[in-house]
Amino acid sequence: MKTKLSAKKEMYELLQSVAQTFNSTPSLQEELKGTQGWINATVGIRTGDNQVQQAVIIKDGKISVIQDSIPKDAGATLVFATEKDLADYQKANVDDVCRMILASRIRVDGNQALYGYFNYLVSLLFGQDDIKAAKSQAEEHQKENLKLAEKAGKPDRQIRNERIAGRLKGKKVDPGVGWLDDPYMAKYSLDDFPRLKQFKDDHHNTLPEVSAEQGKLLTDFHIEHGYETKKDGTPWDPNLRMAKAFHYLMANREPVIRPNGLIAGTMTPNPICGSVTQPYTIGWSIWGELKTIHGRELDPYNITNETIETLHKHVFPFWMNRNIHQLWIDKFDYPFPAQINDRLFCLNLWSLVSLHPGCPGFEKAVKMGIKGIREEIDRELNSDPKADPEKKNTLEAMKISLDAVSVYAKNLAQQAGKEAKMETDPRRRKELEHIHDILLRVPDNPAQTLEEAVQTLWIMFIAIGLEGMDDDVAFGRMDQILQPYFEADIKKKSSQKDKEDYIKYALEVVGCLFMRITSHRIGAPTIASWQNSGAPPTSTTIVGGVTPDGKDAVNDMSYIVLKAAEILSLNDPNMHARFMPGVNSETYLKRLCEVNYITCGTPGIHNDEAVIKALSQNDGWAIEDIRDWTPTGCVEPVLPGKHLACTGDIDSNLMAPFTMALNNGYHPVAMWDFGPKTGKIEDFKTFEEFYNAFKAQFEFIYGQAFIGSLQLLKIHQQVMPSPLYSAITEGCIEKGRGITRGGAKYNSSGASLIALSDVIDSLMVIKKLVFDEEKFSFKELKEAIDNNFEGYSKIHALTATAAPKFGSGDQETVDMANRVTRMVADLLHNQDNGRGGNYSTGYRSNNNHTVYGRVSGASPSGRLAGSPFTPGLTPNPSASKNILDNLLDVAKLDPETLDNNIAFNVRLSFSKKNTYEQNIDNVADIVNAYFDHGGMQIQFIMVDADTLKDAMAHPEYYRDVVVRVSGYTGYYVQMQRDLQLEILGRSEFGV
Amino acid sequence: MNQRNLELKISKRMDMVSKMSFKQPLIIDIEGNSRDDGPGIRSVVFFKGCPLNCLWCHNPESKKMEAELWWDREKCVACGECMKVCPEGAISRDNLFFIDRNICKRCFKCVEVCPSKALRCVGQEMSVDEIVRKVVRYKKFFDTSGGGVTLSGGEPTLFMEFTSTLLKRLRDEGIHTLLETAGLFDFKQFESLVLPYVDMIFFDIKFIDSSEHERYCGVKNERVLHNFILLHNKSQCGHFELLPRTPLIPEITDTKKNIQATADFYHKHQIKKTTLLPNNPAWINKLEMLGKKDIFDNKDPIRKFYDQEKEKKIKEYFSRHGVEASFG
Repeated sequence: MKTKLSAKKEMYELLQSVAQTFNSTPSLQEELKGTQGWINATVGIRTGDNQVQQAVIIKDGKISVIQDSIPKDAGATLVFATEKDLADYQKANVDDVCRMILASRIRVDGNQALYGYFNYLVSLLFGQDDIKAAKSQAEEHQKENLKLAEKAGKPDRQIRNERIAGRLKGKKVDPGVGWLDDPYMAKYSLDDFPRLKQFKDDHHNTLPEVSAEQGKLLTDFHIEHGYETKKDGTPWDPNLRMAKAFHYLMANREPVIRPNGLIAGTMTPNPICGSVTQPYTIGWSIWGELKTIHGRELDPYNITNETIETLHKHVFPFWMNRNIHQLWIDKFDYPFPAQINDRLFCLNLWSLVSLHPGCPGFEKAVKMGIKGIREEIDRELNSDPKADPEKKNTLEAMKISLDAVSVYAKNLAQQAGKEAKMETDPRRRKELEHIHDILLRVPDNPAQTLEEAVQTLWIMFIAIGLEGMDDDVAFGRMDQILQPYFEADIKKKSSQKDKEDYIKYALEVVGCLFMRITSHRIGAPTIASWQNSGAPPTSTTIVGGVTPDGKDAVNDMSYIVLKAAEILSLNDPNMHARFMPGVNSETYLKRLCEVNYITCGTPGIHNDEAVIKALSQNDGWAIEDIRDWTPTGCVEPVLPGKHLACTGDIDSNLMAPFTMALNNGYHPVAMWDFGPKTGKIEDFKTFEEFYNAFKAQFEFIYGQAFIGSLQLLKIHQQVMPSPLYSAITEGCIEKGRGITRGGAKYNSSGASLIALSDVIDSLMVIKKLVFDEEKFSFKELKEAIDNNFEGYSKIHALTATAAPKFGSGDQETVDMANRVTRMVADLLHNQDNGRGGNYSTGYRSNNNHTVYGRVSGASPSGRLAGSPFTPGLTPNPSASKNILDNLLDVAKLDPETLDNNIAFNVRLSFSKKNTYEQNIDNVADIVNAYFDHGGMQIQFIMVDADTLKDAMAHPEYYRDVVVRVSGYTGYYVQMQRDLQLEILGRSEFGV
Repeated sequence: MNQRNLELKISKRMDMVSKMSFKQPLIIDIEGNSRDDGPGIRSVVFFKGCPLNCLWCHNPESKKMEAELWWDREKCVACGECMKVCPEGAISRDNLFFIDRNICKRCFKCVEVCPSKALRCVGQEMSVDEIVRKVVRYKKFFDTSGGGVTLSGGEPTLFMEFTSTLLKRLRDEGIHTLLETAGLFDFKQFESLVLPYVDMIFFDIKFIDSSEHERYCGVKNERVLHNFILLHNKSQCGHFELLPRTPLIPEITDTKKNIQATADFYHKHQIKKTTLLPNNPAWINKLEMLGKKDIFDNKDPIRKFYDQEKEKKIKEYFSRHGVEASFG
């Protein structure tokens, strides 16, 4: 009792002292005032049983505290599950707090931005303590890492250098390769490109910077012109409002050309790396960390005092009631889906921040130019006299948005001209003049050279990013887009030397584009870094595969793009490769394996045949369009320029409904009884009865997710209709509807599920050991997992030995896997997404498999509480020591149930006995046979455990070792420690 | 060395053993994916039973032909179920290696009840059909990588007819076959039953000196070397490949004398290629699981992975004598 009382009292005293300090310190009081007046908020603090209830009222420059009640109009309430959690919280370190949040021990009900504001105020007093705590947390981690590394055998610190040194030459065999005598381009290394080398060093040595540019300009515009309505009180057309705001943003943002860069334009004013901090999707969520973000352990950012002030006083107060999250909980009579989502254990709706994950028609902009697209819009308007107001407004908004891009390009051109005049180095002056000339032609006109095409691509990428929230927008098939321009350029070169110089230059230009692509990050709160630590905005880029008419698509640019990926070894672009068995060459596949070997983990490799088969089940999708597919986000397939796929619309934890089926609708981690009553453990007489309970819980959760997804779509139709994205997406102009209104030629939404293999293994334990063989009762098993198998070692041992696991080569388990993926697909494939499409289903997990695992109790599979789930649908390491069983079982999953793709992770270590080339060949053998069996996707981490341990303790030797998490790629040394350990614990297969 | 000699307890197995042929082997394991037993991705079928008794045998569980009880301390969850069912009372925590093998009648009742598989029965009867069914699943992996199936052990040629049937079935499935052998077999039988169905043979040449062979492997080696030469001559027609292999066991097979003699032997018979198998001490941990004492001195070099400088030198020595050596 004593601790409980003191925790409550301590909290009250803390709040009191915060209030007193603010009220007696004029400089702090200033922080309560924004550009639009006093920033007022009421924030409550309570325990789940309401035994503790306190509130902080921030009003008109004064802070007061109430004990024992929370006013009804409190905007946000911090809820501790129990009083013990309140006490724990007061002693907790940074990691503990994150784990408490993820485990639903702490949550915020209501307006999370308001709570962020409150946190910001607290950080003004205690921010330095937080930074110190983060530092000591990092030191603790380092100590543990050193201990772990001591036990490591022989780490390979030269891993990257040795592999770079072994580069192979390739034969010119691909029909599409016309100009590269050695398509592997073995003679080039990073040292041949001092410019790129410098950029890469900067990239690794510079913290990204939080930018307030976009936030400020959008806020300025809307203060001036109104947001919900125009200033005169008349309603805005959502498309026109967004287009005008976007135009204002693009016209007034700083035109930046990176010093020594070849491609003009930046996502933020910081030319090396910045975060857009989009104010109403995700930017608001860092409010509470503005003062500490530079000192945190995971994903730290630089931030200037001016930026802090702008965001805190000007931007965030404007959006605190207007951000999408707040609109979601505020605008609907049915807040249940948002509540489930916010509890973090089960659903993660990416549509909460963006519908943009996809691949807009960048190629269209390159080919037609802004003017060409504008003309197309005019033609459509002229030819459709019956166009309704929505069509007229949408098309008008598209034109305004396209103009915005032109204006930005012109500003860049002007800047290039200005810099050229001031430049003293003649070589650089010439480059700047050249950039200036290029910007006078593109993106307004169709590109005619490789440089112009790349410049258009990049400016369009910036524009799409800034129209939205700068995340998960794919570049798509970079080799297919650029090859015609490469060919046009090289044909003009007469001598062999000129041709060779040009090839080298083309590689440098692509390298510069890569460095631009990796020049932005998404500033997000620490808790998000736990979920996706080290994740870049995943600008997914792919090479190879087949052309729309089914022919071999591998070309010169495929290899040039791969070479850029090899020498730069970056976290972003998220590189992928398509491989069509029987069409693409072995030479090409071998190169894909070699780039993986050199970089340690990229590109991911997809089986064109399986993906095309999965996508072909969609009625009315033209095969030519399907053959043009590209991944977006992590791995999810979209049809570039024709498709709004919202591939991350619903991410979910499949273990959640499973756990609820075990607990009659109650979720023990969330401590929430909210699911349907599907029966107590004792009531299940057969396996089928239990399976049906699982299915009912699953359908219940997804039923809520669908409602949430539709609610969010409605919000996006109002706040982010994205006319520019629509203008380069086929279908929108003709239909006169934006992407959020079903304008695209193809419309689907994507779901991804986590913990599939653990659910399958758990189902097998229940089926085989409880019902078929009666080794123990369901009740005993339930008791065992409720006690994390402590005192149940026999049951625990049996789960490991007596039930087959997914990935062990057991047909019954594979059948179970297909039964589950079919159950998921049957529900989602038939669900309307509100845009005239359905949901696709896939199995990749970002890092949520670690996070959800960390806070989940034990599973019937034998998985202990707190252990990570496996990434994507990767089998559990204990399933088999034999990689072939893993590969075969995954390959046996029905691709039609995996149409949002999979992330299948395989970690390899290489025998010292092998030659360099044998290593590459061995990997290619695995990929070939796996694809031959129908496997859809495979991604590698080619680092052994000893080296990973050493990298945790000595990151300085491994700064650019990239690893695949579950779809996205990041630097191992930048990842959250639990995730590092999870990667370390994955099966390691020797080859 | 003394202790070692004690442990050897060389059973004076008669050369006669090579004339024996047993019908049904026990199979220890089928390893699905091996990169160490021949080209490409391979599945390896481990036979139980061997006419040799090599000191360093990497698979000590493969020496005896009969099924053996295996106990893995790490996996044991101490549930006590095994003690309850053992009819002989042979299992107790007081025993050095858990099981008193003098009493144990190998009824394997304990294995049936062990939940964690800490107790296992090493050696299972398996029909040719079962083996083929297990490995044929991986055929595409064999094909893309130029791999196949390796028969290893133990000594598959102890079971000449079974091996013959198995190889023939694999061949019918279009699977590349490889046999690993210690070379102690009846050549005539081998020639008619095995040779027609095998694509590749890995043949151990452990010692040239017969008394050394007897000292460390329990039997003399005249027949081994003779068989090798006969096979080498046959291999010239190109129907199968033959590759000798020599384990590098410190101070035992890697002596100057043995390496020289081996190189001379190859030179004399115009053998151009060989494989060296550097010492790998992983097998020592298996001893206690079979209820045997680990008697090696802490400093015994057999406990260590082979010295890389030394293996390089031996490779160079072979190379100077016109034999290209690779490591396996």
